[in-house]
Amino acid sequence: MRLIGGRLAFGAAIVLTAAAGVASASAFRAGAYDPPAPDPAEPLDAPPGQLGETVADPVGGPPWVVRITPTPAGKRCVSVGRTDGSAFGPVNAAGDIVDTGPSFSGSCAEPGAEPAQVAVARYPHLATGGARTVVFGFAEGDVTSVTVTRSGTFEVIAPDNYRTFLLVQEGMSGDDRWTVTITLTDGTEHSYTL
Amino acid sequence: MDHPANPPAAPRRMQGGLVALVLACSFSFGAIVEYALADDYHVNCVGHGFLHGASQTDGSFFARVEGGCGSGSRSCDIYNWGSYVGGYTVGAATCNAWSRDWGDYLECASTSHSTFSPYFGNHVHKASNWCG
Repeated sequence: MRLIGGRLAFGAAIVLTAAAGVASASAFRAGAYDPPAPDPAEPLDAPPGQLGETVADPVGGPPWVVRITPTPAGKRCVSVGRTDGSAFGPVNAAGDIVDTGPSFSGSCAEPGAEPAQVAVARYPHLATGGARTVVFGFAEGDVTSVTVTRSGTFEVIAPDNYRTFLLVQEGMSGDDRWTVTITLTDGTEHSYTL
Repeated sequence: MDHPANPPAAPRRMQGGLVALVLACSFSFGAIVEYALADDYHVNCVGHGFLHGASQTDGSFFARVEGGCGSGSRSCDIYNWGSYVGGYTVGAATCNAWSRDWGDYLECASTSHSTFSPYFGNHVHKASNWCG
């Protein structure tokens, strides 16, 4: 009887020390790093944003567009989605745009920190079928052209009147990386590998 | 001659040491499990991981790799029930994939996959209320 009681007490001690370990790790994590109040912040706090010029989808449906949204902290978020001119977001199975409302998403950075803010968005399963890879971004005023290269093929895009640029391709790029080369008015080039 | 009910002092000390070792292992096990399973966001040069936003259950969440710490490209991708949903690779900027930009997904069954070469390779951060 005394032996059983001792074993039960030992088992309880193991459980209690494991629980103490969980509690200590939890307290340590909480104190070690709190994710910053999102900056970019909560989507609902975002202003409407500025849409660039649209680019047709290679298969059909609503065109694609880049949206530029300034954050309260002075950054610029550049995201991509489908639009009908006012709604912005993904397309559902019926082919309609699901308007996500304003948001801070995509690539967010200090304006002017780089000649261009460049990004690749991946859509492996569109609700209407198929996959898309979208290379997009925002070019500062001294950028004359954007060259997008992958697997030896390239395409040159001029920034639109809103300084956005956008290239939509069917499928996923797999392990191949994209190189985006920005050419400035003085002829110098900046390359980004994504 | 020692009586079985009164074991020698050395084995009794060993038994005490063994108990202390078992309890220490149990404490470490608890701490490691907690850290491994609840590590939704952490810092390795830059903060990155899974961010719930205002609610853990509204289907609005982020995979994020913050800017800074050099100019390399960084990727932030979302998975749901283990399947790839989508994401971004960005230049020298914060990579911020918002779930709603792809659709409506169960938040607790989602993960954020982050990459920022050369600081960290692709690794997973689960929702803090993980149910997948």
